[in-house]
Amino acid sequence: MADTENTSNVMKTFNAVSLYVVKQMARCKIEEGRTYVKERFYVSYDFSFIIRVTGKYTGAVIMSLKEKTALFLASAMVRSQHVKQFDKLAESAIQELANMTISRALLAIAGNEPFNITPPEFIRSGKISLIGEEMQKTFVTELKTPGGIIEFNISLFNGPGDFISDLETNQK
Amino acid sequence: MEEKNSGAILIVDDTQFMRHMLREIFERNGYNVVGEASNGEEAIKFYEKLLPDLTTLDITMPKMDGITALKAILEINPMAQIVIVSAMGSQENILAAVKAGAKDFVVKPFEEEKILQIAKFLLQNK
Repeated sequence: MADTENTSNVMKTFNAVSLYVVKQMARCKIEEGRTYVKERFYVSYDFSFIIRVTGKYTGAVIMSLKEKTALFLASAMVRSQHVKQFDKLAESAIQELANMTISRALLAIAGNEPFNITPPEFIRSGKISLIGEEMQKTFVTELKTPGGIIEFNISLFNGPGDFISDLETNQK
Repeated sequence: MEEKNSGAILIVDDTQFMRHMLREIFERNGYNVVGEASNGEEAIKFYEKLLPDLTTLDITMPKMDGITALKAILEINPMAQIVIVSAMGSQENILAAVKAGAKDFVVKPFEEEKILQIAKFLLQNK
């Protein structure tokens, strides 16, 4: 089944907050990209930063980007030096970007409902498996930076506070 | 004549980038960063050893979270000046932090001016 467009209010909130955070940290022109649904889970790029979520919304949010995009963003964030290779400081900068973006977006979506997140886990190579066959449907939102695309994959358990149902109910 | 900033600061965050960024901000503005810790357990150890005038503390960290570390540090020194710096700025977390004794809560990402204002206020009133 082909990926489908998704314009739910929840995704709009995620887009708006992620755009604000990345702009604030990278201090360059960032634009909204596509928002759509992947019918099965996969990440599009080599670098992935995974945050697992429990609470009202349970699952994982994965920020995926190319190495050159990560280097561009790390250079923009670490303003005192130009980042030429993806060293520990660069990795840490992008980890923090993932942490801030996803935390703030989930906070805006969850409202006063409590939730917990893990620190971001970095995986290089693009090969990620998530627990449970039910975590196949993935909501995706993209941001366009001068260095390339950042892809946010919101991949979900059918758990308490079913995120998929909430999103599909809110769909235009 | 501009007042000189002074004060010993301990930075606690699990990401090297945040520690680097906060150190740069504080040192550029005349403060003395005396130590960095990457989790709650280290935060307590370094606090006891260094007795900083101000501590910045993240919430989501491995081994021990920031709120637990905050409470432990305040048991060591009830007058400890601790500012939470975290992306998890939910009402619940802010209330928990303030109730536990944090002097302020800064939500990431933050403007440099905001953290400097708070540091200046707390260190002038120490």
